[in-house]
Amino acid sequence: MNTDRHDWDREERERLAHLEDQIDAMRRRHVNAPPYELLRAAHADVLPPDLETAVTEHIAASPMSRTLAEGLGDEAPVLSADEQERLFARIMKEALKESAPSTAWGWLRPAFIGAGIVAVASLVWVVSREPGERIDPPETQVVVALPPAAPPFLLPFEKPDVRLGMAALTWRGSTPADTAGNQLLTDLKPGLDAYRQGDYATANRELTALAGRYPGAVEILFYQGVSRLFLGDYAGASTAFEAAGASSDRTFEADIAWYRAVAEQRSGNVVQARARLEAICNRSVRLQPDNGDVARACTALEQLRASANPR
Amino acid sequence: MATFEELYRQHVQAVFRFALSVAAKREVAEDLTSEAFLALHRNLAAIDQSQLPGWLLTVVRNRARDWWRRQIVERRYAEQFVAAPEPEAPAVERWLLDSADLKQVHRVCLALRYVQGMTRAEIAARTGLTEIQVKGHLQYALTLLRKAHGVGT
Repeated sequence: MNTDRHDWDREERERLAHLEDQIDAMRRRHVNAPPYELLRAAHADVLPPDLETAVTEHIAASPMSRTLAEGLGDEAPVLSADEQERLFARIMKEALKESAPSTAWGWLRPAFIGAGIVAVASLVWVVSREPGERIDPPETQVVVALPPAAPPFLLPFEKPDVRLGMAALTWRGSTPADTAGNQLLTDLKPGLDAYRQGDYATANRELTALAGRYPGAVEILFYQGVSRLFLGDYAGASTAFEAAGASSDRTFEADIAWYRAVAEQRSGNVVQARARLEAICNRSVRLQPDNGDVARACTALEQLRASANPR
Repeated sequence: MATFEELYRQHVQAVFRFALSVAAKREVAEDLTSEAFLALHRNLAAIDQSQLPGWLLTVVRNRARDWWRRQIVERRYAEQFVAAPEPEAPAVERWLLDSADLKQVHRVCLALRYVQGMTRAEIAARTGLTEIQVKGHLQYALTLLRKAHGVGT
């Protein structure tokens, strides 16, 4: 990672002409920033606690590191069809190896070979040792293999049907029955069609492209968030639901709160998810004790409290 | 109830993308993905399939934590990161972070190339993109940069 100006190609030199000083200044400003892989790992909350804290604090203070920590967004690579097949073959090979019964006595062969090697090595060492040499006990290293942890309770999510709020249906004065002149509905169609068909990558891409053009349309943010949930992009889903929650259109209010808690839990913000469920449960129990959304949140909250954290 | 192969086809992309995000190395991401599906294969009869892909992602996360613990032991990472760089960012940096014309992928490629000083091959290895994709994203971003700053023409 010692790329410097001298490794720039001709095109880079041309396009960055007169900006070299700024590039150098930018690099100097971030010379002590954590490497990319640490930023990504901290963002996913998989680092050991002390390092996680240090990197997370850095990310909070540095917009550059925050940008890197968020990764490639919609452009994150996927496996090609060939790679998928190769990986599947590898998994099945391993799975078959695990389930294949061992032949009678065959399992003892490695043990005999191993014992033989140890015996010969010990003999050579004893013979070659100088007389009087002190024999220190070897440093022992105990490795405890933990059994695989059972996954914790995860807030379930289902695919919600497509709904449109009145604000979308009446966009720019059009009526629900007459959507011919409703540009929002026209623009929403490709994204929502892809969503209906379960093509969440396309849905996310289409809806993301619309989000800047229709900042008040809560449908865009809500179905963008759900699509990201299905793509496993929980941090992205969380961001979309956060924006949807800030909308003045309350059409999806209950669902946004629930799916936001789902996204938060799955992206590692368990405390925040729990707090959100508590808010739904406490607020709504008072106002609407028979509401199904409330029951779902309260039940999930109980299960979440009862479940152990993943190791 | 879906078969193992159906579940693999349904969830492998989401699991791989998540694995890539936690490990930032394509080969490690493939290992983590493989381990998660092997765990699913072992537990297929017992598992509640409605918990997928969350169950798989939890396995990846746990394995990634183990992997990172080993990396921390094997490599000495600097533990003192500068919390906040100097206050005044140059115009290029402000453009990189704020320009509405750039997508996230452009920002990351630019930052890895010109801030973290990586070669295109190193960027490809860490992001999972191909070198050709990295080159394309950088070319596009530099064209925008030239327009924004009106230099190098």
